[in-house]
Amino acid sequence: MRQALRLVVVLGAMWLLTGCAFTTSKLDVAYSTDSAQGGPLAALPPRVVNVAAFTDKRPDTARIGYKRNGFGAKTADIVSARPVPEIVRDAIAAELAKSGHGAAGAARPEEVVSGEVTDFWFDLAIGFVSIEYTGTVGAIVNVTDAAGTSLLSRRYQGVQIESRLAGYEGAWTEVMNTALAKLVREMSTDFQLAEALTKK
Amino acid sequence: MLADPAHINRLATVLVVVPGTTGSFTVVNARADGNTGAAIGAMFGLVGVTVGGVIDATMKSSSDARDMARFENVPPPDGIRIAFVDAFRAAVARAGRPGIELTDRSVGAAESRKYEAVAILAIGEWGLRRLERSERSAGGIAGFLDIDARLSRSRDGEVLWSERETVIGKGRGDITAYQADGELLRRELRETFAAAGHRMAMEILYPRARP
Repeated sequence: MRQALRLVVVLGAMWLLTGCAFTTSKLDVAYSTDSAQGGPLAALPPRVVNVAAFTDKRPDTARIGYKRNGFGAKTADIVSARPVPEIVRDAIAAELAKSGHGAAGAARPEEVVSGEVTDFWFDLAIGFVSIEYTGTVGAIVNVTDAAGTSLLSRRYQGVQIESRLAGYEGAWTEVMNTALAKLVREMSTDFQLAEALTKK
Repeated sequence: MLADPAHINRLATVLVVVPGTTGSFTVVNARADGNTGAAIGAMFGLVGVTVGGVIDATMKSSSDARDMARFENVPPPDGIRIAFVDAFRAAVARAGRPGIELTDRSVGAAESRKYEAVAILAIGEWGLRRLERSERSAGGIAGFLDIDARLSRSRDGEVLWSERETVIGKGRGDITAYQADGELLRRELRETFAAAGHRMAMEILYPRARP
């Protein structure tokens, strides 16, 4: 009886473990303006800025990473709960609004911000005693004036690397959130972007 | 770790010290794959895990050491550190904060006390690091540097900011491309160090709350 119970427990544990390893994980990545830093962008007088939809230029748009086993082999996809271009676009719009530049959908914006998402990837490497997580978010941000004349095109990125003893979807989401926040911070502390918004 | 961003904002004078680079050029390529030896050794129990893990770690370190040995045009640490220092100074100048001064030499206690706070930005390990191991990316190797930042108030020694940050460059080349093209390597490292200098300046100029 005891052996049968042990077998059930072992099989149950295996089912749970393989179930986790072989099923798709969905991460709900988002930017919080609580971590906003201020910077050259926030020091500008308020601008009427529209943030247009971002396009998806990632090499692989079907997933944002792979689950891997201890041998490093891919076992399942990691996907985003929301469309990736929307996540990055919303993060940039939120930061601009927090810095005093907004008016979404305004009929006569002074500037229009658009962009292309080039990277949005989560990777993990299982080490001897810990797991290293890497989150990478990259985008090209374009600024035009109301007439459509290009004022600036800049590539921004956020990379977060951290080691943990263990972690699952919650930890992975935190890594991607931090990578996204780093991209936004790089943008909000860019003097050239601030200058572009005050050219006209 | 950060006390309160307002404490840093109120500092009128800050001396920022960037001491000589302590770390040396390194390549994290094979090691970026993690350690698969432990999993293979698991078939032989705990001893297998340990032996497999150690063997795998040794093999990957050797592979990275061989990669490093093939570089002939690694810029000297002090030469590349200038990019960090220059970017930091440029950011402070553009932000218009005359009270923040940077020095790249050691300073004594007497000199430190002339400032309300002293920040030490210590550059540790630096070099090239593989970010991805997905087949979607042929190279995926970027410049990197580790920085230990520590900002202390002079009057009571309270630490206002302490953080270890790894700054990653924007290059995504292949290891052989960096080995073959010295200018590509220098540009990637220079831009990574400059990005790090700018970012550290921003952390002091516009401090933010940490979770």
